[in-house]
Amino acid sequence: MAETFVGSVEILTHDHESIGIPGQRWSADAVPVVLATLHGITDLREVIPQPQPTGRTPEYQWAGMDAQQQPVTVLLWRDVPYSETAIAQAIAAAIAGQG
Amino acid sequence: MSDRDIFLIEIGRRGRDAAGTPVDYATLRADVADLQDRPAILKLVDIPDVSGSPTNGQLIAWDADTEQWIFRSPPSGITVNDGDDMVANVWGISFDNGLVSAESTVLPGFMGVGVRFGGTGTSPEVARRDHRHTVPTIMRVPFGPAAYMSSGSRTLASTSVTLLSGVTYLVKTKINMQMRGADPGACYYRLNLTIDGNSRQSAGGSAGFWCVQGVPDKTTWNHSRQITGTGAAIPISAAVSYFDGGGFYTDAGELEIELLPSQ
Repeated sequence: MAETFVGSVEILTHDHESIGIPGQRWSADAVPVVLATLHGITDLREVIPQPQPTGRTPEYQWAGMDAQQQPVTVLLWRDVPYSETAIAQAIAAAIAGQG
Repeated sequence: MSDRDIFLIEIGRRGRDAAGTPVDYATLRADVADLQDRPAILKLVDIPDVSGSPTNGQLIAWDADTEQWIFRSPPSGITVNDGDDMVANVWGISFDNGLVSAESTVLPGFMGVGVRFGGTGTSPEVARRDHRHTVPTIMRVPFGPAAYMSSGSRTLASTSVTLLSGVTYLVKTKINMQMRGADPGACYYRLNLTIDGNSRQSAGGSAGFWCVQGVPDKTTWNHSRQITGTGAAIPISAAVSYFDGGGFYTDAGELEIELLPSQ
């Protein structure tokens, strides 16, 4: 069974529109099913994840066609838990320092 | 005729008959008698074709039916009723405040009464005292969180509004939403509002909007346009776009649209 994790799916259309599908627990094998059912995206084929302009690389990446038969890129991102964010760690460090 | 014939030539006096009486004498006598028989005309009513006796204030007028001059009272003035007061026997009307009069350019001798308009506008019609202005309308189009964004642009909300034909509106739009950085470092983004094809976008980079990882940040952006309605719907949309740095989450918010009619 594929790993599940908290993340979000981002659909990049051919005209650079970013469509976000917010946080659920995702697994790689669930993404094609959900996108085909809810967004009409078909012919998804998994490709090697590429770094995006943010400098970050998605967990999984697919190429496919949208309902208008235009090419789309689908990215599955793994969310950074709040406890691992810089701000949370800074707060935690500050609290620990006070103790 | 012979030389012995005797001709008798009687020469009368000119203008007299044989008896020496002036030939016009009889006529003149008759005329004088006629004149002496005529009534003395000392007053208007003594004239034969003047009929009746006048009363105080009456004028003389020709009556074609009887072919007589008769006495009549002058026509009374018009009665003016403005809905509250009725004034009878009015001979003149003066206009002030919001009314104006001018000689008609179409009908000679007629006077036109109009409204003295102030301000701008071209309509020749006057609004009723209890007329109503279109109430300013505020629409709010909510949108939900749309997860991580790493590039491109994202439409947050889109809708359309119909503006009444001929009415000029100030169409004000505003994005109220929460952004949240997803990656370490500054996460730069731009907000964009488009009203009927006209866009206003925030600056990119440090002069614009940015957020940091894990920190919710409430942000707003606005745009307004003056548009004269045609009765057709105009599209309005709100969007966010990635500019630089880390990625971010577009959390929930709303697109606020305010329609302010100018009349």
